[in-house]
Amino acid sequence: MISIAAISLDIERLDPISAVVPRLASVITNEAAGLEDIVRVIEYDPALTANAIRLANSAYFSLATPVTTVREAVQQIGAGRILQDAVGREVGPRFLPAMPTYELEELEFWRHSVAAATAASLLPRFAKVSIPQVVFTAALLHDLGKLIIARNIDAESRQEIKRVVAEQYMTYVQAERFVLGFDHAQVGGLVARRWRFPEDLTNCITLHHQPRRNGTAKPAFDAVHVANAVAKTIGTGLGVEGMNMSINTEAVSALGLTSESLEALCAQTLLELPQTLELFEDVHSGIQHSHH
Amino acid sequence: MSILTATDAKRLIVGVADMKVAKGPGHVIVTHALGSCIGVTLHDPVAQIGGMIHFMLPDSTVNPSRADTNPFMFADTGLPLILQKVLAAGAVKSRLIVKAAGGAQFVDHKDFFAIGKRNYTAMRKIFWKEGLLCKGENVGGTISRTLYLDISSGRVWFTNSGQEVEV
Repeated sequence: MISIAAISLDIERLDPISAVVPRLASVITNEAAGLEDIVRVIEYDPALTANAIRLANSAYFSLATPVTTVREAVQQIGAGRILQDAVGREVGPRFLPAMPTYELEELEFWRHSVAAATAASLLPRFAKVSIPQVVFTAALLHDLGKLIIARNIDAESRQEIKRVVAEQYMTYVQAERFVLGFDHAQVGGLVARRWRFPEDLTNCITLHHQPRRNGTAKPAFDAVHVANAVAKTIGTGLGVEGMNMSINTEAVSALGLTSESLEALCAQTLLELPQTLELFEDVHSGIQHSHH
Repeated sequence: MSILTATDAKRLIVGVADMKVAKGPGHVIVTHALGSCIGVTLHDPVAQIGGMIHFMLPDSTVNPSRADTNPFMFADTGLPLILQKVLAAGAVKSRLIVKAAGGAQFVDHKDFFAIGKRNYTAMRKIFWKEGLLCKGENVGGTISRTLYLDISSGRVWFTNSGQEVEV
C-alpha cells in the first residue's frame, strides 16, 4: 500500500523545472500584470526568448510577417502559447515512457497530454465565454499526478483499483481515491504546487475530474475538464481508465458548448494534433511518427 | 489508398479517421484504442478480402470541408466509402460479413459527450441504407478496445486490459 507521505516525499525529490516557467505562469495569471511584465519575464531567459520567437515563426502559426522580438511574439500568438511551449519542453521527456499502471504505451501519455493542450488551445474558438490562457498549459499538465502514482503504486493496489471499478461501478478516479485514499488529480496538484506554479493553474489540475468540487465555478476549471474529455474522445490516453470518467454537465453548459460544437471541437483537435506534436519535435525525434 | 496483397506486410494499422483494405491470406488489420469511436470490419471469406474503418464522429455536417479531405472521420461519409473500396477490391456484397466494436461512453447524464451512442445510431442507419447486416458487435460500456480482423479466417476480436474477446 502506498501512503500519501511516500507520494509527498517522491514529489519533494522530483527534479525541479526552470524557475522562469512558473514565473511566466504567475505573470500570465496575474490580472494586474501587463504586456511589459510578460515581455520582461521572457526576455530575462535567453532560451525562452529564442523559443518564443521560433514558436511564433513556426509553420503552425504561419504569420504574414516574421516576428523578431519577444513583444511581437506575445502580441501575435499570446503568452499562453509561449508558456505551453516552454512547459512542454520541460515535461516532454518525462512524459514519453510507457506507463504500465495506466496501461499506456510509450508516447501515449505524451500524446494524450498534447491532445488535451490542443483542445484547450482551440476552446476559445468554440466556447461562448472567455478562456484564460493558463488553461493551455493546465491542460497539458492535467494528468501530471499519474506519473507519480505510476512509479509508486504496488501491484496489489493496481489490481484492487481494477476490481473496485468492475465490481462497484466506480469511475476510475473514484476507485483510485477509494483504494489509495487520494487520486491522480490531487497528486498532480501537489506536483504543480511543488514546482511553484500559481494557484489558478494548480487548481485546474486538482479539479480536472470535478471542476465544481471546491464550490467555485471558473471557466478555467471547466475548460481543462472538457479538454481532457476531448482528448479521450479522439482516442488518446484511454488505457485502463478508458472512458470511465464523469462528465460534469454544468461545466460543459457554462462554457456554452453543445453536442454539435463539441463534435466540431473533437474533429479539429484530431486534425491539429499532428501539427502540435510537431511543434515539440525536438523533445523526441520520433513523436511525429508516433501515431500507432 | 492501395490494396495490399499477400506479399506485403502482414499487419496493417488503421489510425483514427482512417481505413485499410487487404487482400489475400496472412493479413491482420488492427486498430488501437477505440473509445467512443467505432471500428467496423467487412470481410468476404471467399475472396479473402477485408477492410476496417475507424471512424470518430457520426455526422460530417459538423465540418463539411473536413469530410472532403478526411471522409473516414465520419460514419456518414466513411462507411459508404469503405464499402465501395472493399467491393472495388473484388469482394461480393452478398458475401460480406460485417462486424463492429467500440462506441464507449463517458458517465454523462446529459449526453453532451454521447458520441459513442450517436456513432452507433448513425452506423445502424447507414447499414440499413446500404443493405448490410451486422453479424456481430461489441459496443458501449466505458472500455477501450483494440480491434483485429484476420483476413485468412475472417476472425474478428478485440483486446482490452490483456483480455481477448470475440466479436
